[in-house]
Amino acid sequence: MDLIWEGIKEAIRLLLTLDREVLSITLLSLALSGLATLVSLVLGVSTGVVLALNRFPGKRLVISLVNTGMGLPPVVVGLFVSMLLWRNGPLGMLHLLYTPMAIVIAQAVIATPIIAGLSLAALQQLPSNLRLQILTLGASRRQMIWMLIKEARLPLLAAIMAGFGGVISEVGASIMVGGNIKGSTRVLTTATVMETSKGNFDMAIALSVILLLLAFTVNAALTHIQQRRRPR
Amino acid sequence: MALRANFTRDFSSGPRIAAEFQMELNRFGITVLFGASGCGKTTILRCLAGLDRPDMGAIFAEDVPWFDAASGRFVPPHRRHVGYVFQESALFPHLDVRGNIAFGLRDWSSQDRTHRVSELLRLMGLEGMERRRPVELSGGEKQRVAMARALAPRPRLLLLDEPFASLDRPAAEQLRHELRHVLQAMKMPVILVTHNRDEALSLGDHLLLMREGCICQGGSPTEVFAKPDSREAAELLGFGTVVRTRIAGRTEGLLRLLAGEIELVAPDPGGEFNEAYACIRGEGVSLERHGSGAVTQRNRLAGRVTALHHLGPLVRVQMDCGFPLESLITSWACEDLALAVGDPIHALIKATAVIVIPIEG
Repeated sequence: MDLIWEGIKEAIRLLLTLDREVLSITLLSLALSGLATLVSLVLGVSTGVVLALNRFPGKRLVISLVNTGMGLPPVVVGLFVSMLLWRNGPLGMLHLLYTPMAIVIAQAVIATPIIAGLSLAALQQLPSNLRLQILTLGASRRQMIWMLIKEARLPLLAAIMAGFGGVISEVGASIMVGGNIKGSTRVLTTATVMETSKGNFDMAIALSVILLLLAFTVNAALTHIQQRRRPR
Repeated sequence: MALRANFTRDFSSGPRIAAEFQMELNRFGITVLFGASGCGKTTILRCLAGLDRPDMGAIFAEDVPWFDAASGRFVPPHRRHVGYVFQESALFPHLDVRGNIAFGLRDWSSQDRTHRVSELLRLMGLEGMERRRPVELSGGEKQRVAMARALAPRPRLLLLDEPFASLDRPAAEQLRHELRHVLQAMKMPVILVTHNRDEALSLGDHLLLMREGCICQGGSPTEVFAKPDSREAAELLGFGTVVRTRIAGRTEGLLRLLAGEIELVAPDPGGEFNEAYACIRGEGVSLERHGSGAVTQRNRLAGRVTALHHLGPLVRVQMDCGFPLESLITSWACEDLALAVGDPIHALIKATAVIVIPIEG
């Protein structure tokens, strides 16, 4: 019990004094997961638009795959991204394994299906006439898609939250492709795992609290936007 | 300038939709596509707007092909300049009334746009509602906004897909009346899809009757309603009684028809035929409790009431007079006669109320 109590006190001290190492790990986590979410946003929303607006053979299969992908286990993603990036793997010449970019790639692979699946659902729940109506008002296909995205922006925000929440908190893929290298690929989750295994509970607790705060802050901000602009 | 359409659209499950008609594009006129639900009216509108692509045939606006299966030409909807109003108005929820109406005017200068939007607000009776959101509008107001939005970019043709179907009756009648004036003032050619007879009669300048995917008759609404040229058309147009008869004799422009053993007198449409359908509107059939003798109606049939359907102020009386006959009377008349199922009754039908459709061969 003392151990936990001491750990919590030390964690508060680390947080209040803005410990340099804690700060750098936090910023790195934020940067990598943010970038991964951004990449997923572009890929996921495009996929959602293509699936929502087009008819093609095998569409149901693709949608099933995307929906399955929403629950991809991060360790599996970590394994496959590692295999791609190994020195003698297909993308080995890029020398990306154990770099921050590898984490971005792995996290983007995790978040893309989540955002794709949710944006597909967001676009499909728009009234079906809306798309046709926009076309009859002189909008080109591109303008129509942009208009639909604007109409679906609130559920799309939820998709971003789900994507970001998924990658900021995953550990399996980041540790496999990033390697938890201090100052380079050590992020909040991988550091927490390491500190816990070393018995540094104070540091682990501090990192966990930050992770929770971070997830909460980002989601609170997006929720605020979403709820403020929700029509009655 | 004329719009000429002659195309077919096939669906893997369902009938083939075929359209062949033409209409003037540079003057006011409402062409009504009239038919039961699911007969393909909306498909035709969508093909005209470019929202759906026919499988065969062509659509020409004067000499510009909007669609031509032979050359593979297809003009996308935004280059056809066609306005479209859907049954359930799809207003943009995040835009207010002004924003919705201005949506089609994105390329206009802001001054022209403001001017045009104000003009339509006035024409469609929406003044003072500029800042409202779609959720704050009634069904009728939503349809007004949808029409204003479709008319704002000055389309060459306006397509209306059952625009009054979701409105209650007084609201629909009011809007119908106003809309006709607005469209006339704009010299707007219109195609209106409906399955409502009142609407077809009160709004239409030209009527196209649709059945099972095909246009089966065309003409002025009063003419088509008075003289259907097929049994199907007669049923669609609300003739409550359509019965197959043999010709028993013809004299001086009158026909003697036999529906089984029952004789009917009707005007002779002319031509060679031995059998014909006799079509009678419920409104043309009067009822009498006791045979009183001398009346002007040539057809006086004895029968029995088989069913009574109350339709607000009216009652539809179904009878067996040797063949099934239907009459439409007021509920007051029904009360006065104290009609009940099973009662004996006399049905009186003027000869001119019986429309004869010859059966060829």
